[in-house]
Order: sequence, then structure tokens, then C-alpha cells
Amino acid sequence: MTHPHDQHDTLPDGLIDALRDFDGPAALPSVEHDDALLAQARAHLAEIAPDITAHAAAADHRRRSRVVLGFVGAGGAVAAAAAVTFAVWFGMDGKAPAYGPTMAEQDQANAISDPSSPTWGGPGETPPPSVARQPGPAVAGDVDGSGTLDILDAFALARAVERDGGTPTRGHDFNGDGRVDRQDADWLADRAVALDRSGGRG
Amino acid sequence: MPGPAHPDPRDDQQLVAAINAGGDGAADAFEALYYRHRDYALKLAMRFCGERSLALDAVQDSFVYVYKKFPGFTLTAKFTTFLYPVVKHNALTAKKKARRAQGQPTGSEGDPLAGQPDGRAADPARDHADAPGTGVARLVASLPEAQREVLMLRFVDGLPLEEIARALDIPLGTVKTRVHHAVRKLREDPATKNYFAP
Repeated sequence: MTHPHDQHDTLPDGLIDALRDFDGPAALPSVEHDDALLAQARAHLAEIAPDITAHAAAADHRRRSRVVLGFVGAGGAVAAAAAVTFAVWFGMDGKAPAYGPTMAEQDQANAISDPSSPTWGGPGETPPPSVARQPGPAVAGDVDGSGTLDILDAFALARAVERDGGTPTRGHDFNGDGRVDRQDADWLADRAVALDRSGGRG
Repeated sequence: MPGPAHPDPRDDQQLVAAINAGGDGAADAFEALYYRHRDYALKLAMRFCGERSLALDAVQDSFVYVYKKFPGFTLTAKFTTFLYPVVKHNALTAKKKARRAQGQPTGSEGDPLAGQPDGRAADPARDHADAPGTGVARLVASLPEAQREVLMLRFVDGLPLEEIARALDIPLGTVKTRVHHAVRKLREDPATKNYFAP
């Protein structure tokens, strides 16, 4: 839809010149004003520049804290926050996390349900249904069976490693070294954070 | 004229990005941005407050406002479009303060020419209007402020209609209407209609 005044309202060059005369001559700038302003600006920008670095460092620190959190059992506010998160997550019932059966339990389950079921060999493969907590779709690395891979999976695995002394489920050998240990939790955490960077949960 | 001997080749968006990035280049980028737009800002400030000292202060305040928006400032339009309302506000504020300090009434702040019997500013800086083109000055000064403002932005500053709409934060149709009415008066007024003669 066109505006009723869409026809070009133009002015002759002579009239534009007259308008410029009306507008007045250009005022001369002031070196003193320039110097004062630029000095203020430099001071201000010098102050904020370190903040930019600091913000980036803080963000990086927060990201790293989330990763390290489940593995080192760090104290302080961060650990407290994590404990609260886990307490809520597990319904505050004090029971062990349902990260999946132990290797022995899994072997037993496999033997009952499908003796020929192959063992999940590592990342990139879908874990057997008995590994992931039900309900929830099977997602590689989805230790807690929530249907997604996130930092809580790494946390759950770390707790499982700590609790079971290195005998958690076979399907959690994410790095494929034949053992399920803290390195697998680290691998899972890295992957969860990578998902987070791309906009996924984590 | 003061300013860098070698203008920065980066465009305004790149300068804004450099300031946001911080570090050693931020101040240099701001300085380039300042020198690029200082004269236009000063011209605008003079238009609204009519006195060089007030205009210089208004420009200074305007660029203080600009650098304090960093980091995090995002340029979504031309820098001049962003700058216009800032300079206008600061110029009118400076003029208002000056009038108050002199014990003069501070009404009609948006119209630097208001209150004068002949529509001209009391400021000597505008006495050039007595020279050739006086009829134009009288007519332009007699236009409603809103029409005069878009007339100057469109034909003196050369801003596209869309940029004027953004600078004034009014609909594009309103800008077109104001320009149309202003030009029609210039076409019809005896003092200026000869300019349109073929």
C-alpha cells in the first residue's frame, strides 16, 4: 500500500542551498572539548576492558566448575548447590541414584532377557535398554535415563564409580579402555558441556 | 580542523565492534568514531541551541553518553540516526539550563526559533538569515517545528526518509506527510515559489 505522499517531494538545488544558509555555518570544534572527552572515554574504556576479560574468565570458570563438580567433591557454595540439586533430583529420599544396575546386575539381566545381547562398547553406540534407567529413550551416555545427555549423567556416573569402587555397569565404559572409572565420567562431562555449548541441555 | 590525520577505514559497525571488544584498540576505535561524527553532531547541536559554547557542551555530553553505553552497545541503525535524538536532547537541555541561568523563560524548548516576532532566533549566530535568502529563513522559521525538523533532516542533512523516521521514532508515513506539507508551503509561498520555476 502506497502512502498518499509517496510521490517524491523534492526541492530545487537553489532552495536547498538557501536552507543550508538558514541552518548556519558549521561551528568550529574545540580542541579542549575534544581532548577532555577523549581522555574521559579512554579512562572509561580502560576500566571496562578488564571487565570483559573478567566476564569471560568467570563464564569459563563456571563452565569448568560444572564439569569438575561431580568428580572432585569440591566444597563450598558450589558443592552445596550441587548437593541441593541432587537432593531434589533424587527426591531427597537418601536412596542410591538410579544410574543403572551394577555390572553384575546387568550381566544377570542380560542373561535373563537376552543372553546374546551385545555389550555396549562405548561412545557412539546405543546402550542396551537394561543400562539406562527406565523410562526414557536410550541415548548414548544417558546414565540416569532422563532421555538426554547432560552434566547430571556425568555426575551420576561419578557417584556410581565412587560408590561401587570401580564396578559400575559395563555399558558405562565410554572411553573404551575396558574399565569404568573416573575417566569415563570425565569423558561424559566433556560431552555434556559440548552439547551445552551448542544449545542443548547441560 | 582537529581530528586524526588519517581517517579510520573501518565503518561504524566495525568501530563499535572494536570498542565492544575492549583492549588497546577500544579507545582508538572510539576516537575514530568521535572524529567521524563530531562535526555533524556539532551542527545539529547548533541547530537546536544556537550558541557555540552550548553546542560544544551538548556534543560532549552526547559522546559521553555514547561511550558509557559500552560495552554491550549494539548499532541497529546508522550511527547518525542513533546520535540525532541524543544530541537534540542534550542541546535543548543545555539551552534550557542557560535560559534558566539567565532568568529567561524556558518554554518552547523544542523550537529554537520560537518566541521571536519574525521567527528568527535571538542568537547572533542566526543573523546570517538577514542576508540573501531572508524570505526563505522567514518561511522556514514559520513552519511548525515538526515540519521544519524533517525538512532540515531530509534536504540539509540528506537523511533518507526511513532514517528520519527512526531518528525521530515516528512512523514513516508521518515523516512523508510532514515533508510533503513543508514542501507544499515552500512551493506556494511567494518568498520561495520562484525557486520552483522552470
